[in-house]
This record gives sequence, structure tokens and C-alpha cells, in this order.
Amino acid sequence: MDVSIDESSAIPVYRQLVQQVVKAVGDGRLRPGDPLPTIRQLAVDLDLTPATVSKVYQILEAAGIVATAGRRGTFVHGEASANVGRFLSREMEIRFREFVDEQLQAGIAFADLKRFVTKELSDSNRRNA
Amino acid sequence: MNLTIVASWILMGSLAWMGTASLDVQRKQTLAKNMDWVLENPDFLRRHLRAPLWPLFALTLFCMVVIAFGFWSLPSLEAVYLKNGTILAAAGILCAVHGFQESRIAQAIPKPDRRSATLRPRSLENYAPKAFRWSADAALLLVSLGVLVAWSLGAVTAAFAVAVAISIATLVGVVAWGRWATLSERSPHFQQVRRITDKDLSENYRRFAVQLMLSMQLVVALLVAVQLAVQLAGWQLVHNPLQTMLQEVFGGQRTFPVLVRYEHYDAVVSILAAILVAWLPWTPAFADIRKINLVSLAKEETR
Repeated sequence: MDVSIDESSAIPVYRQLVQQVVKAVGDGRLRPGDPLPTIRQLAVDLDLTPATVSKVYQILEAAGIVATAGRRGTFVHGEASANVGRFLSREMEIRFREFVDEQLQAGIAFADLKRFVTKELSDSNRRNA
Repeated sequence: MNLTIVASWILMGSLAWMGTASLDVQRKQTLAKNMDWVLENPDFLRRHLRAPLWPLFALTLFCMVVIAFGFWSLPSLEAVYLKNGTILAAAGILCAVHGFQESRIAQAIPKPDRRSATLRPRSLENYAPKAFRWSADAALLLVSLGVLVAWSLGAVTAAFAVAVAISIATLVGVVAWGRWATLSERSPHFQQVRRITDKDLSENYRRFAVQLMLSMQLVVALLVAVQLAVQLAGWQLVHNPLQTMLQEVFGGQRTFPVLVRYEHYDAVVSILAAILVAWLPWTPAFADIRKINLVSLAKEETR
């Protein structure tokens, strides 16, 4: 499978890569034990610095989605499928907290924000029903 | 005309033919860093569409003159040294000049915002069948052991054993570096090549490079095996300057009559190398990207 990045996107490149790997594990395109490329290979192919790719692997490793086995390389973790759900919830919490803080700092009233979020959630629920 | 000169000139001709194909392929790889941008800039494309071939032709002509001069006026061994040294120096100069030019052009092309890569790790297993890899490694190991056993039994000289050890160590170093370089080679046209051809050039290139290195291992193992068999029969295949030098270092060892004259051996090697080199541009790795016509692509883009 391929991964792609878009440097013109507002989402940082490392996060784009994390999201794609997590999605691939979630939908079964990457299975536990599947080998992943080395940091150097991915950095060279995507024309990124090794530090960026290293950050991606560190995040994924900390989340239990990939495991590094010394010189044998990096693999999809045996419990990756179970850990994807936990990782996505934690990511959502962090990003939602960032979003709320940003809006409150920008001067949006708490009550307005709450009303907006509630409305968006119920609209989304209706759309997906 | 001297057979060695003719053989060397044939080799130079095939090297020049492969050189033109390689420069063409390399230039397209450089431009493929961001093909969309290149096609949107027709002036840039026109200026850099073809790699300049005159340094290649000038160096080829220079080598041919030096080779003819060497074989006409020097003893055969010195002439072979001069020939090999000149070809290596010319190749080094060409690589340096061309590498500098390509890196300057690549720097002028902006990185595309959208880039993609495979999440599949590259390893030798993807590029050569297991049996091929094992045979190449086993062949080299077996001939090394054969030479070691023959030397310990006193059937071959220490100079021969050390010369073989040096050759094999050099080969192993070259192959190890080649494998590393092949696997870590960038795939700059990963997206672009799919737009243009139905094959993945980088993968073709890696398959070709890995299989060429494994073939080299097999050929060297075969050559060492032939030399060992000839020496076990009481002969030396060809006069080997390294072996002669080592013989002087170790001293007091028996010498074997030489079976083939060095310049004849060199002529045969030149012809075989010329055939191999002339065949390289027809391999899928080269052929795939050679069929890309950037001019017609540019015309399609502007239509």
C-alpha cells in the first residue's frame, strides 16, 4: 500500500502519515506483523527529513500500533487493531480540547460553543442515520 | 591491426552506447522529480530535455587514442594497465561532471506538494529469487573454501590464495555497498512514472541492479573455480601481476607455467564485457523509461 503527503494541507505532514497508517491498520490493509519501511527509506522516498518520519514512528510506537524489533526493523504491533480505537479516542480528545480552547480564547461564549457542538453532533447523527 | 586494440575499441563503443542511454535515463529521472512543474515550464524543459553528450564522446575518443597509443608503443602489461586506468579515470570524470549537472538541475526543480511512497519495505528478497541469492552466496563461499583447503594442502601457492582472498574481499565490499545503495535509492518518480508508463521504473532498476550484482558474484566464483582447477592441474591460467607481486613478498615458492597470455585474456574479457554492456540498455529497467517521450508529453500538456 502507498502513503501520500500534501505539504499544502493545513494538517502537519507527520500527522498525515500517522493518520494514514492508523487508517490502514483500522481497515485491515495493514495486519499485525506486517513489516514497515525503514525511517531512511520512507524519508528518502517522500523527500522528508528522517526526523519527521522518526516522529511518526515514535507516535505510532507509543500508541502500540507499531513495534520496533531492533535491527529486524519496524512491524505492525500484534495488538495494533485493538490499540487503534484507543489511539483514535485519545487523538480526538486532544484535538477537541485544542479546538475548544482555541474558540474560547478567540472570544466565543461557552454557551454558544456548547449549542454549536450539540447542533453539529445531532445534524451529523441525522445525516448518518 | 592489433587484436587487443580492436577488442578494446569495441568495448569503448559499447560503453559509449550504454553511456548515452544512461545519461538519457538519468536526465528523465531528474526531470521526473516534479514532472507537472517541468511540463508547465517549456523553456526549462527545452533547455534540459537532453543531457549534453559531448563530454561522453570526447572522453571515449580520448580513451580510444590512449589505448591505441598504449598497445602500439608499450609492453602488453603496461598497456593493459594504461587502458584500465584511463577507462576508470574517464568514467570517474564523467560521473563527477554529470552528477554535478544533474544535482544542479534537480535543485532548480521545486518539490511537488503532493508526494507518495510505498509502505512496503525494500529488501533483496523482492528483487531476486531465493534460489538465485543462495546460489550466488554459496558459490562464492564454496570457491573460497576450496582455495583455502587447496592452500592448506600445499596444492596452490600462498600468493594465489592471498590474491583470491583480496579479489573476493573487494567483490564482497562492492556487492555489499551496491546492495545498500540499490535498496536506499530514492524513487523520485514514484507518482510520475505511473502517469507516464504502466511499469514502476525504480522497481525495475532495483531488480536489474540486484540481479546484476548476484550475477557478478557467480561470474567471479566461476573464474576463481577455473583458476583453481588450472592451478591444481599444474598451470597458471593467466599472468596475474598481483600474484607476481605477492610471490615476491612471500618468496621461495614454486612457479607455474602460464596457460594464456595476459593481453589475449584481456581481449577476451573486453569482448565479453562489450557484449554485456551493449545489452544493458535493452533491459526492462532502461527500456521502460527510454520510451517516455517528454517532447510529446509537453505538446499534449499545452494542447
